[in-house]
Amino acid sequence: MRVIVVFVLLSLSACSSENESIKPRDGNSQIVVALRNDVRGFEPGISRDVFTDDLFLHIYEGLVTYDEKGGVIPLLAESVNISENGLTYEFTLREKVVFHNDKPLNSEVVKKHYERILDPDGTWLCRSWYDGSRGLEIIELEAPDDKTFVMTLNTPDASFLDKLANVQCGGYIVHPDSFDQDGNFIEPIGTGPYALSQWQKGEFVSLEAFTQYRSSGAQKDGLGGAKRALVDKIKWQIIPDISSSIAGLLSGQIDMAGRLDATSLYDVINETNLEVHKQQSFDWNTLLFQTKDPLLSDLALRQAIASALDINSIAQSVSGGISKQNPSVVSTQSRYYSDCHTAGYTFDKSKAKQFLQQSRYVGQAISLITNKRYNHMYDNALLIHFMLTQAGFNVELEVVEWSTQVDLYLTGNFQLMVFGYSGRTDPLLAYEAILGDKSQHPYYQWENDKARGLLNQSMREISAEQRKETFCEVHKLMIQDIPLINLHNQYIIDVTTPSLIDYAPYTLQTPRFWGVKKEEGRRQ
Amino acid sequence: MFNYILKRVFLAIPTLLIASLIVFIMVRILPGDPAALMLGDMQDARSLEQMRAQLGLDKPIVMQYLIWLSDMLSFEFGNSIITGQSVSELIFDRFFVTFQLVMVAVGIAIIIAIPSGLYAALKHNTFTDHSIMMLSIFLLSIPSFWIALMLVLVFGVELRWLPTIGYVALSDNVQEAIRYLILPVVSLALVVIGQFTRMMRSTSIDILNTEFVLNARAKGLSEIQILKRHIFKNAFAPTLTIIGMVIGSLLGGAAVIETLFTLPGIGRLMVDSLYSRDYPVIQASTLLMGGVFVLVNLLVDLLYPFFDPRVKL
Repeated sequence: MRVIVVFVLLSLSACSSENESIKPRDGNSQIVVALRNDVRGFEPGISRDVFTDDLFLHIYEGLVTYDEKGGVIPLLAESVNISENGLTYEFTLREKVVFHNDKPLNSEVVKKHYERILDPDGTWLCRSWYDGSRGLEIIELEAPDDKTFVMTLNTPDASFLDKLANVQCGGYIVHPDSFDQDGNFIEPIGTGPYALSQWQKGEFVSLEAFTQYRSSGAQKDGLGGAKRALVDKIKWQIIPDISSSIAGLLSGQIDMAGRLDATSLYDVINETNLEVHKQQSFDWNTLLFQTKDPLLSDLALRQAIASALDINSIAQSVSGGISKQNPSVVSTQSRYYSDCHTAGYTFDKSKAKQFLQQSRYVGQAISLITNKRYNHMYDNALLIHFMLTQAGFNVELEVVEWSTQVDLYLTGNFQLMVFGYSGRTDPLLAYEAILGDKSQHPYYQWENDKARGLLNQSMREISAEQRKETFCEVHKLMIQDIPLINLHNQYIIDVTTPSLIDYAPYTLQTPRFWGVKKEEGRRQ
Repeated sequence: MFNYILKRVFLAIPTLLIASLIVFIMVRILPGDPAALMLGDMQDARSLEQMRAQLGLDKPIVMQYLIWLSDMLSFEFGNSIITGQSVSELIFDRFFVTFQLVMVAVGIAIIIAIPSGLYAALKHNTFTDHSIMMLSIFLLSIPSFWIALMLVLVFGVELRWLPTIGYVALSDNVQEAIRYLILPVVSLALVVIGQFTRMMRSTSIDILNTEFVLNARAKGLSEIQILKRHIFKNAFAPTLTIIGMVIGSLLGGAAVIETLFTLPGIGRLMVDSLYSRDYPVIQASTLLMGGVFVLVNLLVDLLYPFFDPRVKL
C-alpha cells in the first residue's frame, strides 16, 4: 500500500533536544486570569463550556491540533501518514513526551485512550462523529509498536484530522491513571505545559508549570509549536461579572480578562495602563428562520427580510468595528474562505418592498428571540428589530433567558432567532451543524439534498482546492434558500495589563498563556 | 419551652415538604434542558438522549420527585449534574461563606443602627433626628450593588487599599480573610443599617409616648435607666423580628454582592445553578434556604420573651 505523508514536523531538532525546564521562571511568578464561570470538571469531552476548554488546552494535548490559522498540525504525533484510499491514519508519536505523572507517552496509552472514549457505554460527547451513526466509523485501533498508532476508518473523511483536533470535543490524550479501576475520573493527567495544582471550587483554579514539558516546535503556532511555560503558576480567578473583571484589571489584581464584549471595550479603551487585543474568530453569529413556520416558509418573505437588513452596519456596530459582514458559515479566518463566500444579501430597501409584495405577509406579528446573557446576540437582535420595523415588518422582540433560548432552538419552536455557533475550523463541520432533516431533529436549520450530497462529496475529497470549490457550491445553495442569514464572525476582545509580555489573542478565541511572561516592573 | 420548640420543628416538616414539591415542579416547568446545556452546540439527538438517561431525566417526573425525596430524607443530596460535585459538600462550603458575610454585616448594622435609632427617637423632631433619618433613607434608597461598585472604585481601583475580588477563608489566613471581607460586608451593612435605624426609631417613638414611660419619668428615674429598662427592651422586640427576616433573606439573597466581589457564596451558587438548570443544586439549596428561614424565625421567637416579658411561649 502506497502511503502519502501529509504532515511532518519541520523543526524536529528544535522540539526534542530542548529542555523546557531551564526557561526563565523565578519560582513564584504568577499570572492571574479572569474566568467567567467555574470549570465543569477536568474530564475532557464530558461536560464542557468555553471556559473549561480554555483550561484543558493548557493541561492536555491531542495527537493533532490547530495552527495559527486554524489548519491542522501534529502535536503529540510527529507525523501523520494517510493511506492512498484515505482509510488508514498512521501516527508516529513524538519521542520523550511524558505525562504529568512522569509516565511516557506511547502507542498503548493512546490506543487505550481511544478505546475508552469510543466505548458505546461511555459518555464522550463527540462519539457520534466516529461510531458510524453519521457515516464515519473508526473500525480499528492498532499499536504495532511503541511509537506507532494506527486508526482505520470505514470511509474516507477529509475532515477526520480536523475532528480529532476539535477543541469542543476534548479528544485529548488522557493518561489511564486519571481513572480509577471502575473507570471513574479522578485527576487530570495530560502532557500539556501546565498541570493542575489546585481547584478551589467556586473561587479559582491554579495550574503550575510542568517542568518536563517538551514543545513540538521552535515557534509558537496556534495551539501547537513552542509551548513554553514561562511563569510558575496561572491562577484562573472566577469572576462572573465583567465590570468586576475590569475593576480587577484596573486595580492590578488580575492580569488578563478575555472574551469581553464591545460595550466593555468602551470602558477600557481610554485606560492607558491596559492593553486591548482584538481579533476575529471562527465563531459565527446568525439570524435563524424557522422555515417550517407557515409564515416564514415563504421564500419571498425571507428574501424581503434579508434585503431589509444592513448587515455590514450591524456587524460594525455590534463588534465596535472589529468584525465585518460574513454571509458564510466559513469563517473569514479560514483557509477555505474565498471570494465566493462574500456573495450574500445586499441591503436594498426597494428590493425588500418588492419581495414583501410578492410574499404572503400582511403585517402579522413575527417574534424575534434573543437573550441578554450574550450581549452581542442581544445587540444584533436590537439592530435587526429596528431595521425590520423601519422596513414595515411587525416584529416583536422577545428577550428570554439563555437556557430557555437553547430549549426553543432545540425544539425549533421559534420564528426568528438571533443565535451564535462556536467555530468549526473545517467548513464541513460548520455545515453539519445546520444542515439536516428538521422532521427528525428540529435543531437543524437547513434542508437541501443537493447540499447534503455536496458535503458528502467533500468528505471524500482530499485536495483542499477541490474542497474549497465544493464549499463554494454549498454556500451558493444556502444563499438561494435563505434558511438563515449569517451576520458576522464573532470578535475577540482580550484585555491585559502591560506586565503581561507576549500575549496574543487566538482566532479560536481561547487564551494561550504558554510563551507569555510577566514582568512586575512594567505594571502601570 | 422544649415543647414549643418541638411543636415548631414538627410544623416545619410539612412546610418544607410543600416547599420541596413547589421547588421541584417550578424548576421542571422552566424551559431549558440541563443535558442540552451541558452539550452546548455540539449536541446531537443520540448524545442528548444518552446524557438525559445518565442524569436520570428520562424517567417520569413523579418518579424523579420520589427518588429525590427519598434521597433527601436520607440526607443524600446527590451530585451536581454540571460538575459532578457532591451537592451537600458544595452547599455547606458555600453556605458558610454567606453566613460569615451576612452575620458580620448584620452584626455591624445592629451595633450602629440600634443606638442611632434610639438616639433619633430621643431627639425626635430635632436637627439630629432629621439628619439620622435622612441618612437612613438615603442608605435604604440606593441599591447595594451601586454602593458596592462605588466602594470598589474608591478603595480598590483608585486608592488600592483593599482587594476587590477574591476570597480568603478564615482558616487559611485571618488577616487576609478580614481584608477581603471588608468591602462586601460594608456594602451589605450600609443598606441594612438604614432599615434597622428606621425601625428602631419608629418603635422607640411609640414607646416614648406610652404611659409607663411617663410614669417612670414621674417616679424620678434617670433617662438612662428609662432607656435601658423600658424603652430599649420594648422597642427592640419588633426590631428583632425585622433582624430575623433580614438575616433569613440575606442568607439566600446576597447573590449580587457575592457576584460583584466574587465571593463563593450560596446566593451565587443558586443563581449559577439556575442558569445551568442544575436541578439537584437548585432543589437542595432552595430547601436549605427554606430550612434556614424557619430556623431563624424560631430563634427570633425564642429570643422574644427576653425582651418582651408579655410574650409567653
